[in-house]
Amino acid sequence: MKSACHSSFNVAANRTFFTLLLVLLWVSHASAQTAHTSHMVPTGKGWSEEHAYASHTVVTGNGISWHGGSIMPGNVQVYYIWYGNWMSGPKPSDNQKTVDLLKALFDTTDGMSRSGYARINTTYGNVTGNLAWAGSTTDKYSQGSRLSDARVGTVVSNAISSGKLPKDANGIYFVLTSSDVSETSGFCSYYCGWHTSASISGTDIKYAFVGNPDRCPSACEMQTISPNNDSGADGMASIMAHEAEEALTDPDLNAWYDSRGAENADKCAWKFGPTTGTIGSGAYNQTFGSLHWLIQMNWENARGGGCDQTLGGPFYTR
Amino acid sequence: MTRTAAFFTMVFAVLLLIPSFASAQAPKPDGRRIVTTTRLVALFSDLEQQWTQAMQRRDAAPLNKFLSDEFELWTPAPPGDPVPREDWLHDTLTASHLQSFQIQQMAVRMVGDTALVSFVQRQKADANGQDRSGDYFIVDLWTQHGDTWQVLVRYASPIKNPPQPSPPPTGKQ
Repeated sequence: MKSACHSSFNVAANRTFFTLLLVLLWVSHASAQTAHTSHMVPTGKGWSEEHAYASHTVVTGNGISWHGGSIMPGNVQVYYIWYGNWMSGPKPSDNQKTVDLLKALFDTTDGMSRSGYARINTTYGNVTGNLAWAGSTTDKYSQGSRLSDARVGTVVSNAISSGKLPKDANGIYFVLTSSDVSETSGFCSYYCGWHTSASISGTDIKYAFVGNPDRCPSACEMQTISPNNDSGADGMASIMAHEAEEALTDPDLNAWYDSRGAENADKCAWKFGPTTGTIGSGAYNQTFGSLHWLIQMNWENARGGGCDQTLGGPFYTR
Repeated sequence: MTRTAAFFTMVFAVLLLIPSFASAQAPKPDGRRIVTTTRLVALFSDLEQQWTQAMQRRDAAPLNKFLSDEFELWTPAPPGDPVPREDWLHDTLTASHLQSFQIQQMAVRMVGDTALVSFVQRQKADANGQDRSGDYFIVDLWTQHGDTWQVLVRYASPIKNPPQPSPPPTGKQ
């Protein structure tokens, strides 16, 4: 009797154990799904809203594919960290004019936001292409003048943790370095900029590095005589547009890219289409507000796919 | 037994909670990034593709166009002498058979009118009946003559244990 009772007690205990285990597994799985498919983003109105990340319209057959990751929906804030000496650095473009020009690039009324060019991003599901400069800060060489990728991340992390910039999961943080700063993983020989994401203070933060191309004009500038008479700012504008477009459509490097790993802007890198004026003599192909820019085309995820200067415009191969 | 079941339940609960706690607390620099390659990488990727495709087709005219008169090839193979232009051209046009190739990891440095181009070439090839398939680390010195670029010298070395190509970007480790 004692044995039978003990046995039935064992069965009950085992059932309890496995039930608890299943509940824990379900809770764990459910929370992982929620984290993957939604997150809270600021509205700028004092409250935040939940955005479904992964549930967006997916089109195919345009030379680029969705790989299940999140995109950046709605209005996306752009933050700058001016790293190094942007008042009186060694090159003429390390100055306030560059700071002002690049602020204007993402100005809500006169910038690229809501332009036909930015609208190309709307072919990637719920991406709106609405990019708005939302703040900036400076960092005077806190990590030295030779930055590694990790130190670029530290610059972003410090700007957020110190309260200089808000913590914004639906923002893009640009670390913009003056011409005397090197990025030792290949700036000027391999790349002109890059973007990535990392968990900072528990939030998925998207950030990019773009250096002053006056450090290496032949590598990172299309022309030294530029539309705004500031070769550094004009060179950076195209790279920043490139990184912003990729951050919108592939913020965590697991959403939109092609079979070779190229993201939307990669597929049109250094391709500008027709210009007003000759390249090398201040040519431009975009006008936002009163400013002219020479900015690379972007890959339109429609009509079979191609590089164009404006949504629905003609495709160009160079 | 109740204590045993409770103990295991607690252990599993703790184990299940660890990943979510860790991901919420620790910074997650995953080390991955997507770059905007330089204008020069774009330019020389195109030139290297054209040159290698000419090798693949055994097409003498473009090969001659790409080679400087002084061209030579250096490899680690003994006796350590360079392969002169005419020998390289002869081997490429008659003995080599390049089935397929892929150029990766390119970097370019400009020094005056000279460009130092380094990359990894993955290829399927044979020459004189010997298998030449594999990964090679290549450094080419290109010089500019007016509007055209020519290769002055190539340094090529096989990579014995090539690192495996990274999978498409995932963003998550």
